Order: sequence, then C-alpha cells, then structure tokens
Amino acid sequence: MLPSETKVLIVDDSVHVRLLLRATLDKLGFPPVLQAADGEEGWQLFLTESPHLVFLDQIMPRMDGAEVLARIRSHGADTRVIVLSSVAGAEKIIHAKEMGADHYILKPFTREKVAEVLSQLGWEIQVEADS
Amino acid sequence: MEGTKLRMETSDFSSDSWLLSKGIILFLGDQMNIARQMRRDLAQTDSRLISCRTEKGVRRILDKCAVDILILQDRSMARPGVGLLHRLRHSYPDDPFFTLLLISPEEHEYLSAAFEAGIDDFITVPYDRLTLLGQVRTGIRSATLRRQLTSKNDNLSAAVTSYEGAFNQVGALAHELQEKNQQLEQLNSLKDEMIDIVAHDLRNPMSAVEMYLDYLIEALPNLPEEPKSFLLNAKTLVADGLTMLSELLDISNFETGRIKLHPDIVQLKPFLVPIVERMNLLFRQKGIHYDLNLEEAPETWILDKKRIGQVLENLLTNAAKFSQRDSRVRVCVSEHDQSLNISVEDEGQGIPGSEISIIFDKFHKGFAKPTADESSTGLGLAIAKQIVEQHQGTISVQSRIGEGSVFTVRVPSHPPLPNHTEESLQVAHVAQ
Repeated sequence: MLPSETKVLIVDDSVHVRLLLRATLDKLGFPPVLQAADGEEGWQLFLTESPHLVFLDQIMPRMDGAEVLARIRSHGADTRVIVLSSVAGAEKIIHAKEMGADHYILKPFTREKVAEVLSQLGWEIQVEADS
Repeated sequence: MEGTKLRMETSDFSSDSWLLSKGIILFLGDQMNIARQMRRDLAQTDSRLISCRTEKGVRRILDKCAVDILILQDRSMARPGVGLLHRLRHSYPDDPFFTLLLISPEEHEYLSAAFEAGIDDFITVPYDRLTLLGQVRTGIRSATLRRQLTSKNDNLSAAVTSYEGAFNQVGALAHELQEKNQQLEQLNSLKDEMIDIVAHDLRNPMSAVEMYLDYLIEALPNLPEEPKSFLLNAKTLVADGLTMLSELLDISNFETGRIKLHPDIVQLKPFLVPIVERMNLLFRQKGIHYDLNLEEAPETWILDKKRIGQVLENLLTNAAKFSQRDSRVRVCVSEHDQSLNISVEDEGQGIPGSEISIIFDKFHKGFAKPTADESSTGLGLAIAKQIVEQHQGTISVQSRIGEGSVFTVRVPSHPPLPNHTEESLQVAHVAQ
C-alpha cells in the first residue's frame, strides 16, 4: 500500500499525541489525517469517512478504544487498526489483539516505531536518512 | 513499714556475755506473777519485756515496735489461743517475731496443735532461768535473721521486679521496633510506587517535548547558530531526562520483580558486534579507540539478549564517559570455568578503593567525573548488577587510580530458563 493513497484517522484524547502522530505520518508521506478527540467522535468519523487505517487510543472519554474497535470489526470494514497504549495497559493490548486490532504501538512512541509497524502491515515506507 | 517501728540494737551476740541479748519481748498471758518473774530474770540482759493481757494489747505493741519474741502463756494458747496465733501471723506476715509457748508438763498434749499453729518453741513451767535466757537468745537471733532474710528477700524481689520491668521494656521496645520497621517498609514501597507513577507520568510529556524538538530541528535547518544550539541543548537535556526516567523505571521494575528474563540461545558474534558498533559514534566524538576481541569467545550462549546488551551498552557508555581523548577501550569476550566473561577495560581515571564496594549501589555517583560533562544518573551500574544477578552471574571491577578500570561480567552457562506460559511471556514482552 502507498502512504499517499491512505486515508488515516487518529483517535486519541491527547492533543500532543494527535499532533505528533500527524507530523510523523506527514514525514512518512501520508496525506493530511482525520482526527478525533474521543471514541464517540472517532466512531462517527469512521462511519462518514471510511478510513483505511485507524490509530486508536485505549482510555478515552465517552467511548473507550475497545468499544470503538468492537464496532469497527462488527461493521465489517476492512480497516487496519493500530492500538495506541501506555505501558500500564499491557493486558489491554493483548485483549485488543484478540478483539481484532492489527498491531499496537506503545506510548511514548517514536517515529521509527511507527514506520516499523506500518511496514509490517504492508505500507511502503521510505525510511529517510536521519539528519 | 518495719523501718518506722522502734527497734533495739540486737547485733551484739559475739561478746562473751551471751546473756546480754538485746530485744523486745512481748508477754501475753493472765498470770502476771510469771511475767514479773521473767522481767526479773531478764533484768541482767538488755532485753525489755512488755506484758499484755489481751490480743488488742498485743496488736497495739506489734503495730508500734519491732518485737523479737512473743511469749504466750499456756492458757491463752488453749482455744482461742491457736486461733489467736493464726490471726497474728495473718495480720503481721512480715513481722519476724519468734513465738515461745509457756506450757505446764500436764499440758504437753497441746504441743502438736501449737506447733501446727506456728509456735517456734516452748518452755515448760516452772522453767529454769538459764533455759529461759537460752531460748530468749535463740529467739532474738532467729528474729534478727528473719528480719535480714526479709530485707534480702525484699531486695531480691525488687531486683526481680526491676528485671521484669526491664524485660517488659525490652519487649515493648522490640514491639515498637517491629512497628517502625513495618512503617518503614510501607513508606519504602510507597516511595517505589511514587517513583513509578512519577516516572510514567513524566515520560509521556517529556517524550512529546523531545519529538516536538526533533521536528523543530528538522523543520528549521537554516536557523542561526545560537538558536540552533539552544534547540540542540534542549533536545540533549530532554533526552538525558528520559534516560534517567527509563533507568528509574527499570530499577523499580527489577526491585519489584516485574522484569523477568527471557533467556535464549544467542549467537554471540552477531549479537555483540552491532552493540559495540553502535557506540562507534560516541567513541569517535571523544577520540577514543576501541578493540573488540572475540577470538576466545564461544559461538553461542544462553542469555537474555536485550538485557545483557543493556549491560554491555552501559559499561561501554561509562568507559567512554570517563576516558580521555586518545585513550583505548578494550572489550574482551571469553569462556572460563563454564562461564561467559565479558570484560570492558578502559584507561580512564580509575576508581578509589573506598568506592569499589559501593559503585554498584543505587544513585552512586563517584569521585570520577565524566570527561565531557556528560550526565549521569548513578543508576546504570545498579541496573547492570540486577540484570547480571538475575542471570545468576556476577559483575565486578578492578581499578587503579590514574591507570584505568576493568569491569567484568560473568554469566554462568545455565541461567534459569523461563518457566512462564506463552501468554505471560507475551504480556511481559509487551510490558517492556
């Protein structure tokens, strides 16, 4: 898959995670991404926009990541979901994989980690030489 | 109570005139002629005889004086006499007076009851004077001895009481100590929790700051020198802070047993070479030469790759930190006595003997200072020690001031293999 042809949705209640992930994806060649600050908003955006890839935080107000993931999977869409989680939620990650997440990224994340996970999921990531 | 009573001196029994016994003798009876005769017979002695007719009179005297001998005339011994003696002994349990019963020959059948009631001796009337004087002497001596015994007993029981007091005090102190220890343990684990929480909560914002700085540095390649160096300084400081946080989390995870090893059969060369090469930049910056000697290294070893790699990185970083330009760092890997030995030798400042024993303690920052003002948490070696010890191995250091140090890690050939289930292994991996 080509990053430039991928519609991405980031669902996370931390504005810094959204901004930094957006900047990271921009560097990796993705087009401007969609963003949601909680699960409910994320789910609504998913329904209207049908993204190819969703970055999904676990603990969020209104609707948590597990619920959004369950809805995405029962919706039947072929969307890739990468769960974002803190170290404290290790069991939650395993649970998320059982629930149908494609991969996970631990916070705090690095650009390299994001690139690595996306490569593993089949995106053609150009790793630029670090300045 | 005895001290308040009037006492006569009764100590002088050693003189030739043994008759001169000093004491207070109390006579209870109704035959005053006998009492008078006795007073006359005792006149030559230093004893004083007081006569009473009633129990009440006797009590009055006993309340005031330290009586040595109580003489009971036979008729008072016959009922209620036995009861009387019982009552007196009961009322004056600490009074050491000697009881002497006056009895006529035909009343000798009472003697057994009288002894049972607690008399000490008897005199048959009519008595002869010498027998009386002898009995008086015996009685006074006996009362004196009893008095001494009582006082010794008092001392003894005072000693026992004070011993018991001390014993109870020690018990109470031990209890207090135990409670204090529990409190300290609680405080300590509270402290660990705090460190854990703070480190976790600081890590996310600091990582975000680090990434923002990365993007700024990338986005502004044409900044003038000074603002650019400020950005780079900020990035270095944040990175150092993050290293400290992750070391704090590491040590706290090791101490609470949350980090478990994941040993595996590891090809040593492909494992070790990249670690040393990653340090290349750091060594080059400081003009330090390094050798990696794998000639005597075994092909494979069982160890936790990630963790032993962390130990080696730490030792190499330290060697770089504390070495001068143009010095040499040698890494040598070999097998000795069924152990893998990894030694890192530098030509740095060396470690004073007094620090060798504490250099692996938490937060230890030694006498040696980094040669290029690098930061140090004092946790790296403590973590290395935890990791090596979890491999059942040892880490040690030999050093000479001004010549350098050699750190040696020994990993025995059979570190414990993990006994986790697949699932717990997965959780542990994820948690890391």
